[in-house]
Order: sequence, then structure tokens, then C-alpha cells
Amino acid sequence: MKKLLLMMLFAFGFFTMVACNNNIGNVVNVYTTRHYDSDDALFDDFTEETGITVNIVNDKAPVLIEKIKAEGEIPQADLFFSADAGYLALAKEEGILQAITSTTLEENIPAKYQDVDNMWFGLTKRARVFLYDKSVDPSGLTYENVTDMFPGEIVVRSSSNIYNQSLVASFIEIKGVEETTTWVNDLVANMARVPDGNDRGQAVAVANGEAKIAIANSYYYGKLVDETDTSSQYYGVSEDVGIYFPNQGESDSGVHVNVSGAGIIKNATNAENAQLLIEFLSDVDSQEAFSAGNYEFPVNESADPSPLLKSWLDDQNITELKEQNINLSVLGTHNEQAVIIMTTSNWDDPER
Amino acid sequence: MILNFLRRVNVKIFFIMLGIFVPFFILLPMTELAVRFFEPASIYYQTLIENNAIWRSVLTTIELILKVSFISAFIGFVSAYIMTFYDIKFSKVINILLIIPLGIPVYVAAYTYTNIFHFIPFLEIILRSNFLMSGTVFIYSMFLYPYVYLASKSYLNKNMTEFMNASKTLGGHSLRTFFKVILPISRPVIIGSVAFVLFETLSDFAVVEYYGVLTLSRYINLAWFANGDFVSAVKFSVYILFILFLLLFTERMSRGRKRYSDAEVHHKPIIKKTPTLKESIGIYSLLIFVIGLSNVLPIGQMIISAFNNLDQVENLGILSITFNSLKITFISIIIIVIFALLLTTITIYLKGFKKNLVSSVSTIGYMIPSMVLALGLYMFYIRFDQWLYSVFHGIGLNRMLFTSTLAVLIIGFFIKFFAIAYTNLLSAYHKIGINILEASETLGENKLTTMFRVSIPMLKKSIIAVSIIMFIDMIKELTIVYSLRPFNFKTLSTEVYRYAGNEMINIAAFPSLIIIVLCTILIIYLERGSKK
Repeated sequence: MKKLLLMMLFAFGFFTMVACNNNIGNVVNVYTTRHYDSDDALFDDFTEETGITVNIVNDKAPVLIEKIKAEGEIPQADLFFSADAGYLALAKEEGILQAITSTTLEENIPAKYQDVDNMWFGLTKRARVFLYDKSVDPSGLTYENVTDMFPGEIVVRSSSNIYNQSLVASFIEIKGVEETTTWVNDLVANMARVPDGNDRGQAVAVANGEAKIAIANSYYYGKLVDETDTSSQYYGVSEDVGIYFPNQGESDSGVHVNVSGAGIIKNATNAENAQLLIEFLSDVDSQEAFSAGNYEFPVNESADPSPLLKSWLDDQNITELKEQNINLSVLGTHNEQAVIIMTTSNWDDPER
Repeated sequence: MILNFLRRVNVKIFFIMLGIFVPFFILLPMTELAVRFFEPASIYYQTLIENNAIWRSVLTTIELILKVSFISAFIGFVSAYIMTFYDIKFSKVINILLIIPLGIPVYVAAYTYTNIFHFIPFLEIILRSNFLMSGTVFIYSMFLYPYVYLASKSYLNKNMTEFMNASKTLGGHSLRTFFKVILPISRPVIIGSVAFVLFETLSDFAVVEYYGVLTLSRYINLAWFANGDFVSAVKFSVYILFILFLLLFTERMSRGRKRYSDAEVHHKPIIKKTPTLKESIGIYSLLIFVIGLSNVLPIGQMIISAFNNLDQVENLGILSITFNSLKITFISIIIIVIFALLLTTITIYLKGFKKNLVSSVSTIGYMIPSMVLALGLYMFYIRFDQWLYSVFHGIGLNRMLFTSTLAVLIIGFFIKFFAIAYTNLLSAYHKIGINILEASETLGENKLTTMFRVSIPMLKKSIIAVSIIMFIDMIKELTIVYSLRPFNFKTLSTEVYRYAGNEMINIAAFPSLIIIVLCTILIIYLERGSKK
């Protein structure tokens, strides 16, 4: 009896103690969809340099956007950091971001990776590439001719994956709805299996001979190359599977590139600190750290991609990567249409 | 002193207030969901309807839950039967091993199994099997059957000797006794525990996504996490609730008016039977099969992964994330147990409609998919917080009281897991019988002091057991923690998910193993305690 009451007391004491620990002071509060150790390391560097503590919550982008919307006038976070330009565009559309005026950012980040109204700035790039069975020749491969070159030999993950949605959205911008629908239908008809697993899982399927071509994110290939754990199914996969940047020909539309980026939340309490953090992440050192630690391409043109990333481009004799010529905000605009096309074409159930 | 104070409390008013407050507290955030449900359908939702995708998905969901029900019921019940009535070598260890899968989150099992499939290619038939729905049925059944096992075992232990003996006297051999007597009489227990398996199955989206099966949970995930379409997610959740109610209702109808009551007689101890050679072969192959697939392979794989990634361990901050996990689980368990005790005490004295109302409302949280529940809660409490802030800002409130602290997370746990404590304690309460409680009142105690002086001591074992079950569920719980935690708050499960989501399942092995070890310690404690 006494024990129970003691326990109750203990619980409430604890509870109030926890409730009183707070994040007020010289801080920046970040809502991020990215969940990488390399980001945490950069945030630590930022704290060391500026004395500003970085507080983090990570979650899925729609959850964070809904939370920021609900928080309204008194937001709990200062910075929204997302791994997809479509969500950045959505955040802007929802009116939860504020414009940033920063000469540093203007200098460090090329215009095509910024929002037109400076509501968000891109910080790193990834390409949606083909991972191919090294026994075949991928030369000249494009998103458009892949179904002709490798009929029934393509694997890709499910339609819920934002990078796939953004790939389709970029097609809508470049080719229009009708042509994109035909392309998606064609792709679905040539899938080697029902989409399952993650991006690296697609590469494993190629290594196992289930398919010849996987559509995946470039940075996952970096993780495959650097896999040292011999008990992992990913170990050694990059021996049999290569990376190919499609659509590099003169008349081609360029490879699909997406950015991770950040924007300052409207009414943010620590807006200045948030801006300092974005600026910090855009400088050459941070940009090179993203590239070395997380296999992403820097957006800052003064920063060099890591030797590994550079070697991929060299292998394909690419001096300057040809990227889709679109404003990345359209990935958000066309997202819903993209999902609808993928749903009607039975992307997740190709046997139907 | 405290008892004296409690004797003076106006129990009736206190109970009425609490009996209204707790269900109300659970229901309140659901209003957020109800409002969303009636918002117009999005284009995405309409597309799914036009393509018959929803209809197909409803069928897939029903197929999945039927298969998972039967397989988990089979494994759970048959192994409980074996462990109860047969003299098995190493039975203590086997018993623990049969419960351990409960400590392995299903999403961890699914991710780990892709590694296992890779190294033992012949097992890939599981993944390719149409019957097992690309492996999903396998994962859910293999890692959730312990709910059935635990419930069946404790039921069989208490209630079966007389029936067994009667059947034997009448000439029934063991197989016949099993099918004609034991199985039918255990039906309510099996169904009750299978229901928990199903709630867990339908609350998960990671396994179906990873293995590519289009269930309703998957569409909730697609709509909400991938497309930001919360309204559709809420609509799909209501479909799931509807299917669950339909199933439980059908089951209740088919059971008809039969009631299985457990008269509180003193049961004779069970005399365990030494299995014949034939039986031995069957028994041991089943046990090896189940334990091998649900224990040895996944845990072995995780141990290997953890060893191969020891250099990553320092990044994990194991101590602090373990402490965080323990902190929220302990606080939540204490609060839930206190309120569950009070509410079950109230329920015991209620009858008819009021009783049903209180019980169903109190258990609804467990049925709502966590991802939807979490956002509904956040929306509700952020509004409440903003109101508090505007009122109390002048006198020093400088932050959101609920949503920027652990409060909203603990409320989430409360709403989600209250059902477990409530239903289990209620059934334990029913076993005490109302007579004893009335006797205590005749002796001058009021209902509240009776609870402290009579019920709680008698329920002690159930309270401990229920706390352990809640602990296992909470420490695995991901979605609620992930979406409701304050800044910089990492737990074992959020770290598992963070690494697994980043396609680094091998690094996730370490926190996963800690979850499993903690659960195993408690399972051992639970099982040894129940022997005494």
C-alpha cells in the first residue's frame, strides 16, 4: 500500500521534472525528415562553432507539415529540413515558411536549387539512377528506352516512395500527363516483380539475377559500395551491380535530380539562428561533408563531390552531369497527379 | 492516515466523476478523427475507388487477418496444450523461448528476415508463397502467436483437469479429447487473444509495405505518410474498425448463447503425460520449427549483425536511449495501472448498457491504427496548448505544456494501451467475485478502501502480469513515440526505425537486441512468478 503511494509520488515528481526541462535559450529547433548520422555530426559542428544548440525531431514530411500548420502562430520549430523538393514546395504552398534574405545563401547556392521566392534553399542533390547488372551494357540507356532495352527486367520500389513520385512528377512537367501515363504503364508492364523492399533491396534483386535493371537513388549505391558488414545481404552487391546516370545524350532530357533543402518556419522564435544554420550547411566544408558522409552531390559549386561520387561520373565520361531542366518546385505541384497515374497503372500490383 | 482520508471521500461522486472522465478523456481526441472522417474525399481516394483498389484491399485485409488468426491460433494454442499436458524435456527453457518472439517487433522481424532469406535461400519459398501472402502472414503469425500462447496456457492450466478426466473416463483418447472438449471450451480465450494479434497486425504498416502487400493499413500509410492525405487515412482506419467489429460480431453470433463460465472450484493439479514416441516426434518437430523460425534465426542474425557493426555502437548512445525507453514505459504503466484499477472497480459495480459503454469506450484506443491516432492526438492537444498558452502566458507559461513535453506522448500511450490493463484486470476482478467485495463493505469499508485493502492485494499478480505485457508492447511501440515525442528524444524503437528506414538494418540490430533482452528478463520473471 505505502509502496504504491510512494510509486505514485515518484511518478508525478518525475513527470513534473521532465515537463520542466526546456529548450529555451540559444537554440535552433529543427523539424527534419532526414535521419542520418552525418547530419547529426554537422549539427554538432555547428554548435561547436556558434554555441547554438540544435534540437531535432525527425518524422515523415506530411506529419511535420501538419504539425507546423497546427502550431500556427506559435511554432515549436524554427527550421523545416526535408529530403525532397516536393515537400519543400508543399510547405511553401501551405504558407508555413518565410522568405530568407541572405547574400551568403545566394552566393553558395545556384538559383535553380532555390525557391523562386527564397522560401527554401536546396542543400544537397541526389540522382534517380539505374543500377545495372554488370554483365550487360547499359550504354545509351534512358528512362524512355529502358523498357525496350530490357523488357520485363526492371525492378523498382513501391509507389509510396517519394523519390519515385517525384520522378513521375518531373515527367509530367517535361512531357505532360498523357505521355507520362503511357511511360508509367509501359514501365509497370516491364517490371520483373511486384515492388517490394527498399532501394538497396532493388540492387540485391539485380545481383540475384531477378532483374537486369533497378531504379534507385544514387546515394544508396554509395552505401552499397561502402558496405563492410559481411553478414549483410548488401555486402558485395556492388561487385555485380553498377551505377548508370541515364539521359545524358545530347537530345536527352537529363537525369532526374532531387534536392534536400531547408526553409525557415513562419513566426519562428529563433529565425536568425535558423538562418545561420542553413548558411552553415551551405558552406564548402559542410557541402563536402554531405558528399563524403552521405554520398550526396553538393549544390555549392565550389565544393567538390567526394572521390567515390566523382569516380562514378568519370566511369561514364561525364564532365558535367546533365540534369533535368525543371524548376524543382513543380515536383510538389505535380505530386498528386503523379500518385494518381501510379495508382491507376497498378504500380504496386503489376501482375494485375 | 490515507485510508482514513479515503474513508471520508464521497465514493459515489468520485466514482461517477471518474467513470465519466476516463472514457471521455480517451474519446476526446477521437473527435478530431470523427471530424476528419466526414471531410470530402480527396482525388486520391476517388481514384482508388474508381480502380476498385479499395475493394480489393478490403478483401486482401480480410484474407490476411483470417490467415494470421488461424495460424497464430494454431501455433499458440497447440504449443500451450503441449506445454501444459505433456512432460517435455527442458520445458522451462522452451516455455520462455516460446514467449520471446513477443519481444521482437514485427517490422524488425521483417527486415531481419530479408537478410536471413539471403543467406538461407531455400527459405525464400516463404517470401514467394501465395498462401503466405509474400511472407506477411508468416511474419505476423510467427511473431504474434505468443499472445495466444500466453492466454491459452494460463487458461488450460487452471481449468482443464476435470474436463480431461471426465473425457478420459468416458473413453476419449487424447486427440479426441483435444478436438471435442478442450478446443471448444477454450474458444473464448483463443478468440480473445487472437483479437490482440489482429489489432497488432492491422496497426502495422511496415511489414506489408516492405513485402509489397496492399492491405488497408498499407493504404493508410500510402495516403498519409506518402501523400499527406490525412482525411483518406482516417477513412481507411474506419474501414479497418468496421472489419474488426464485423469479425468479432460474427464470432459472437456463432458462439450464440453459450456461456463458458469458470466456477471457482479448486482445480486439481495437472498430471503431465509422458509423450509416446510418435507424439514425441510430432511435438518436438513442431517446437523446433516454431522456436527455430521465431527465435534462433532472427536473434542469431541480429547477434551476428551487432557484432559486425560494433564500431557503430558509440553513435547510438545506447544508455541514454534505453533510459528514455524505460522512462516513458514506467511512467505510462504506473498511470495506466492506477486508472485501470479505479475504472475496473467502477465497472464491476455497473450493469447492462452502462457497463458495456464504459468497457467499449475504454478499449477503443487499441483498435485505432497508431499512425492515425497519433496525429489526431497531436491536433487536439496543440489546440488545447495554444489555449492554455494564451490564457497563462501572462503568468509565466512560456511553452506548449503538453505538445513540447513528454505529456502528449504519455497520453498517447495511455489511450493506446489502457485497453490491455483494463480488459485483463477486469477479467481478474470477475474471478475474485463481487461477494468478497460486498463482504468488505458490510464490514464498514467503502468501495474505495475496499479496492485498496481487498482488491489490490488479491489482484497483485494480475497487476504485475499486466504491467509486464504492457511493458513489452510499449517498448516495441514505434508510431506513437515517433510522432509525439519532444525534441531530441530518442528511444530504442525510434533508433531501430531510424536505421532500418535508412536501409541499415544491421546497425538497428543492436537496439533491437536490447529490446529483446529487456523483454526476455521480464518474461522470465513473469513465468517464474506464476509458478509460485
